Amino acid sequence: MIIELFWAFFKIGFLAFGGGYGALSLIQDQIVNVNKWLSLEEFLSLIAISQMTPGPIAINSATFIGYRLSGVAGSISSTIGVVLPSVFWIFLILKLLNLLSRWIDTSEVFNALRISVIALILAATLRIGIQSINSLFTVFTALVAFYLLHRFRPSVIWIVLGTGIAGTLWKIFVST
Amino acid sequence: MAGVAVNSFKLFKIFLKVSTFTIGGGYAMIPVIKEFIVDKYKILKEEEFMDVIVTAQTVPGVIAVNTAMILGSRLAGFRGSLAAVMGSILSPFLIILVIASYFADFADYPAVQGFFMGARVGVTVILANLSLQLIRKNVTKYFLLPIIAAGTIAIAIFNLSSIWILLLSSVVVFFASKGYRRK
Repeated sequence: MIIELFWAFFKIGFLAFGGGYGALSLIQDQIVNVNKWLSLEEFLSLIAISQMTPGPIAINSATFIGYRLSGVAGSISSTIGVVLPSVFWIFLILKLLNLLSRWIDTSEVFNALRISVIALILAATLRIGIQSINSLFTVFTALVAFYLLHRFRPSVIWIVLGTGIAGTLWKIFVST
Repeated sequence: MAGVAVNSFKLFKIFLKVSTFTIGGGYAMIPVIKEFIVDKYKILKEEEFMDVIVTAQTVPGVIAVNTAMILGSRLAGFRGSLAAVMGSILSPFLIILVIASYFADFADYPAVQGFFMGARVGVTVILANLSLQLIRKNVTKYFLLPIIAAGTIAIAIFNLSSIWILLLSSVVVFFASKGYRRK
């Protein structure tokens, strides 16, 4: 089981383009459809927790699913499995870039990539924004947070923690 | 590589902080990593940091881990990349273990739901702020704006794969910039 978990998450890490959200459909495929380790319902509740806790979603869900299926050993092997392919890919891309830079001026390519990656970050902003800013309270919180970030330039960590605490207080004292 | 020297332990600490305090996965971590690496410790310039982010997206894998690995290896070799990756997975790993063993109904607590609801607003704000900064700094020609807008819509609304949009729009930007300069 521990080796099977490692292998399943290794495949996920090896093929997951575009980070966590791209990985989710691969994880679902491996865990629910191919190996039938969890029912869809169990899987979705684990994913919900993985999104609500700090850290990369793929790491969180690997740890969680590994633990659920095979204890601490399972969580370690799943996590290593999902991380390990990065060693291969990063080694490859760095070597490739190194090689390329001998033949062509990569700085212009990177200039173009740097512009384009803004679209990826904007798209992530839009996706999270559409899902999360959907009520009077969240619109107000977003505006206040944006103002505070620009006025006092705190660490962005404080913005995330502050809005989280505001959400907790709202949920406990007002909306329920 | 410009900037100050960093050792593996410092990289470990930076990534430990980043992964402990960011909810919402890879993209949410970018503004936090940038704050430490570029703004606070001035280890890299903004363009150099963005090159790392771009490189991390061009290959499969967990974005935060890819980023940690590239930054670590550039700044402090193999030990650096190991330290950065360990830092970025250690606390999520431990937090999940604790939740999985003691709070299986974690997501059902109203306080947790409220925190998550609010924190995602915060993540949106810091991502929007980063996007604005990047646009202001990098978009020096107006013709770049529609290209970025098209890419954003293609990914966020039409759910096209981000890697293909990244490559396609880079080709467009590359040749459009060349053509622009020739005029």
